Amino acid sequence: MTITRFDDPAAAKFREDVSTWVHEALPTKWRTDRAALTPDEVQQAQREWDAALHEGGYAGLAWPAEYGGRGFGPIEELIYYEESSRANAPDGFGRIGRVLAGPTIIVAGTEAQKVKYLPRILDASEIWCQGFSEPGAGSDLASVRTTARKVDGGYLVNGQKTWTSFAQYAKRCLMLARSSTELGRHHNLSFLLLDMEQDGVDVRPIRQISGEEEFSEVFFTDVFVADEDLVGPEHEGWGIAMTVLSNERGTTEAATRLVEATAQIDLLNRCCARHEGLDAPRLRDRCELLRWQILRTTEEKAAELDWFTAGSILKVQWSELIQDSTRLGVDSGCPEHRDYWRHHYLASKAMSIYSGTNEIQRNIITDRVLKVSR
Amino acid sequence: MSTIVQEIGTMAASSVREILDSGRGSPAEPNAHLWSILSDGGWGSISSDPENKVELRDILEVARVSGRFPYSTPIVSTLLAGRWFKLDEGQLESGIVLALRRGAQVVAPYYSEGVIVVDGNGGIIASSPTAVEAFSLVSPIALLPVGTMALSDEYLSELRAAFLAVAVGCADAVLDASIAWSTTREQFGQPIKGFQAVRHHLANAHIAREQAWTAAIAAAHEPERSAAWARQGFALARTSIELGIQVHGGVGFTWEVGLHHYLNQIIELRSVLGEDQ
Repeated sequence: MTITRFDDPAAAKFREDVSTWVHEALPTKWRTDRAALTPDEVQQAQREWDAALHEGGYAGLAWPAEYGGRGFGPIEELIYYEESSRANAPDGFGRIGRVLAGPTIIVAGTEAQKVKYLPRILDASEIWCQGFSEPGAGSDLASVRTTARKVDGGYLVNGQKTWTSFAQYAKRCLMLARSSTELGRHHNLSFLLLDMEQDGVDVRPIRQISGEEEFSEVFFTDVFVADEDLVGPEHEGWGIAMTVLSNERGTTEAATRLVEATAQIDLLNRCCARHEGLDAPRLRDRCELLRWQILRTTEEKAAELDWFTAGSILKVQWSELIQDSTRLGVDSGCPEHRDYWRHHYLASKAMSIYSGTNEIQRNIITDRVLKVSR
Repeated sequence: MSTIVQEIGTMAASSVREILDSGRGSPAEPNAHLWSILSDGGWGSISSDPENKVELRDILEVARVSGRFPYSTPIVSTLLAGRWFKLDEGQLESGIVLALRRGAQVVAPYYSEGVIVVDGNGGIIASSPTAVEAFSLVSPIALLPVGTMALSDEYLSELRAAFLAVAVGCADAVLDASIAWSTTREQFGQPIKGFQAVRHHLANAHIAREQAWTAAIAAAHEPERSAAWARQGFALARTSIELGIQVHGGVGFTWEVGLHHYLNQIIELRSVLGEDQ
């Protein structure tokens, strides 16, 4: 049975187990020298963490046991993220698979898809990316123009995706493509699981203002996807995409961001300590508020109350908190961490854009939470 | 205690809301009639009976609802006093207000004729207030003799959570009014709710009041951090109300429309908690 309240004694026991495990499993370099790691070393630590998660049984906490998970609910999942946040654990490299691809396949995939894909998501031996955004379809996602043309035994995919995280490392892609030229909006898209390691897939990393290449453009030329890799009914991929986005904007995603924000603010407090007039404690309070916002939303989710729309608040909250933290980091002028803060400040500019821009989140709140028609 | 309200809290909040709502149109001032309905219904004494298993989280639910209305009753302080102190049914029915330290003064907000003032130990203060001043333009505040023992930190943490919940109720009222206003008010030939700038003010007002509510719940769970939660939560509730006033355009800052009742109330609540210092 899963836990439904944080004050359940079973929750305290689980927290203790997680905390012990996290402290033992944390990659040494990450624990001792995080701020000084090169991008390659960060990636190495992330991959080590993926392996540790799988080995320790923490990769699929909320996945059903029959698919290799632990069958826990949102409370246990959050406790894990809280404890890893306290220990400043890294974010794993297989995140898109664990947080987006896996849960989507569990909910909407066929048995064959589950057998084929889920084990390799759990052990992170296959990295996933998400092929949703296009140059002409950002906030207006339903207008994607990448096509999936029906051929014998499957589909041929042609077009361009962009802002694709992990594309250069990914074996698989969650693909949203237009499968009908006749059917209307929201009923003309299909959801496909595409193999990235085949001819016709051209990944071109995009250099961002931070200097990193976290996202890529991906070009698809006659790329084959077999019929058995269609998720849900043909042309009804929009509904599946919404499932993915609700996970992306949900408590799990927010909890991984809490890990990041907590670590940034810990460092920031040290950098600001010698600098009067900089308000790091207020950011600490906002970080605590984010933690409680996640906690509250998670208990609402566990109690099966309406929590989905609360995801929009969380998205706005974590992205703006991290942006404000890194901005203050730059302002602190800390000589030891000057490069670190410059880098993270520039990198954080993407946060109010991806996962649905903060303006789109505000539209969702007015349209769907406050129900103010246009 | 969970972050989720219990059934008793939901039930009490919904009844209190219904009763206070029946006073719609009454002047913005203490309302003895509404208090007598609440009190006769037993809603002021639910927290004193251990069998009801009322938790602080449930009182927050009632406090939030009470903040929606621009006339005052001692419901929140009575529920808290019933939870903390040994008071009999008759005393609770009269309504209880609490002695709080405001700078060099000791004051009792939500005071009105007939209520019982208790000190920091729950002892009944027999002497009359030395003066009564306007509180939030809605409810009076009694000034008590300087030597009166004010509420101790132990109780103050719960009061912070409850008053913050009242502030969230104030933000609820203003946001509801702002949505209604944006639907009827037309400019450029259409209701202003169609303009994205207005829609985003509404969204931001919602985000701020939800976060303020989270702060109230967190304050109830973390008494040792309740002052920090109150500071943050009141600021958020105020932001939400300020946005609502902006959405109202020119009428938002008229006395007649009355949004100032809510804004003033949260400013006063902060001040009696000492959060503005």
